[in-house]
Amino acid sequence: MKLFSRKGKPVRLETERFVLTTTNRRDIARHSFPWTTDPEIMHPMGYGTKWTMRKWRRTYPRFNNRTRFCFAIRPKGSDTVIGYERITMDGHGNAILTVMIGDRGWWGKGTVQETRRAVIDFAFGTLGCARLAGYVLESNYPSIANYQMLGFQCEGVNRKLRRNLSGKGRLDMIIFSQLAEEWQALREKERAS
Amino acid sequence: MTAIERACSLVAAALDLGPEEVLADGTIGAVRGWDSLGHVKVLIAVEGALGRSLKAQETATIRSVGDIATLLGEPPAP
Repeated sequence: MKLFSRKGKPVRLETERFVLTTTNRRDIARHSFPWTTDPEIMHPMGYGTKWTMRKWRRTYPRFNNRTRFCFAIRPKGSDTVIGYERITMDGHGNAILTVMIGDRGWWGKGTVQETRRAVIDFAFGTLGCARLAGYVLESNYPSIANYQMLGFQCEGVNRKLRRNLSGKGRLDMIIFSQLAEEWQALREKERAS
Repeated sequence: MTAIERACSLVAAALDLGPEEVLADGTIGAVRGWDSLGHVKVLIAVEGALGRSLKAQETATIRSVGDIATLLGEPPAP
């Protein structure tokens, strides 16, 4: 049990415009709580907009920087957190990616493309993951686009998994995935071009 | 007008581009403005052209002009 409770060291990733540093759920909840009242941020993730700080904090696991990471995203030269990238890894080398960009000023500016590339490189390269997956509600078109642009394949659909918080009926959940060798091939193709 | 020509003009109109800026081999991320937010406009335009909402599986597999042409070329559902 000791092995599984041991914490890893903090991790820092850097991209052209951003710095990503691992953080803890208390700080995440504190920084992201103001975003929880915004339906355009919360509904695409399948969350409602009525939260207490305590309940919101409890939606996050304890991040151990070994198998569960949450990176705070800050623009270079700024202390302001604009969002979070998460990796949750199991014992089989599978990891699930999650992202939340709460600062609307960074929407539509390639933020997720840039930060997720660093996270994917870290997951495949440093953590040695074999497979990454992302779960996206069918109505979350921007997130679908982000997975597609990074070469993720649609694996299938969980039918009518969630209530539609922005309208009627229920929504399907789309499963995207990417294998380590697919990402490597994509990176080599990019380098060659 | 062929399905591929319709798909090109649909993407161009959705992204407010000139017709010459969207070619038959255009893909998400490669066509100017076809990014995560541009994709919302493209998918809404596809739904408008089809006259129905996209199914999740369709939404997940549209990543090029060719994919849109395939959808537009399908006969309407009975």
